[in-house]
Amino acid sequence: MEKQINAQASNVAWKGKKVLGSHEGTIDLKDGKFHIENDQIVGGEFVMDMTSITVTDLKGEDKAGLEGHLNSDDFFGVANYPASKLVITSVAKKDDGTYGVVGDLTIKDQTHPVTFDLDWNDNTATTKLTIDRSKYNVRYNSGSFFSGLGDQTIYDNFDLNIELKFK
Amino acid sequence: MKKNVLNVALAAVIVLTTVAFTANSVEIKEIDVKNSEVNWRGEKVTGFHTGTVELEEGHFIVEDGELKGGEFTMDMKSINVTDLEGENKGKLEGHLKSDDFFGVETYSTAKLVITSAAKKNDGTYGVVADLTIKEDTHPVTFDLEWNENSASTELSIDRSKFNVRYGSGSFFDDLGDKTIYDNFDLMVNLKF
Repeated sequence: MEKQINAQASNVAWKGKKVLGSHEGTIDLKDGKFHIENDQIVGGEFVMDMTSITVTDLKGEDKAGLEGHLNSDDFFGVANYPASKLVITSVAKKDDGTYGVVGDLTIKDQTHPVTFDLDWNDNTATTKLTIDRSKYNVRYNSGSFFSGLGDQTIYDNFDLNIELKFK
Repeated sequence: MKKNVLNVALAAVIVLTTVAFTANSVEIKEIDVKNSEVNWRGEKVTGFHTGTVELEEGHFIVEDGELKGGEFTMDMKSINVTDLEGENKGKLEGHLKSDDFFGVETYSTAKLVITSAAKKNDGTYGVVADLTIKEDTHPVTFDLEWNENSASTELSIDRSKFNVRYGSGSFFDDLGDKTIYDNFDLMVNLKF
């Protein structure tokens, strides 16, 4: 059985930190589904619309400036890589009822395994996911690629807060 | 020519004054390792484990009241598991100390050296540091809560960068639900 995600009603919020501060925003899910067998998750596939990156902690020119920068090749190069993808490869239920999940995450055509715990409810699933952008060639002001950045460093890890609603 | 000499003299005075001023305002804050705490949490697909590891020594460098640097050494032989008891506890501790994980016989310490720190608007410090585990060094970043006599942070470390391979999907295929997550968390409470 497939459980389709209601992309419109679902929410993906991101938070990125730098030495001197942080920024946050949202990104839209294009489509997604979980595979269910015998009432257990066994898989799933999710596609993010990378052209939808929005900044929510700034306004006006600053907001547009950062959105433009995030869309550029310094970060996610969305003209060349308009979608990113997560494919669940393994799932198991933990004692506390959450699911431990292993997935293949593809950003900028780079695929790496990611792992996260998923809270599973009747009509929703939620998770917090930390992603290391240095693995996906998202290089701008990353200490993994450039030396001597000092307090201009932007952290490699960014966080996603995900709330999925089912159709 | 005379003006140049004067300029050089003036520059020398400024430099000396700056050096003297800086030297006066640098403070080394030694960490009270006995009263400090480092807790770890590692997740796998089917569960998780928690424990502690001991700080061997550490200090912060404070200039003009602002955090500027620091160096911290962890005693890797002190890895302790707190969510298991008896034989299971002993087994997991042995496994974590083995070459599958941290190889503590060969790599008995891990080290963190702060390379950059700056205050954010909310009063916390953004910190960049070089972390060395198993002789692999990579930059890590974290936010640090800074108080009068203590500092605390939560830090997520990607073990796959430090050659800590057991059960990692970054090194082995088809682990399925035997996968152990690459990221583990450290909850650090330091007392000065």
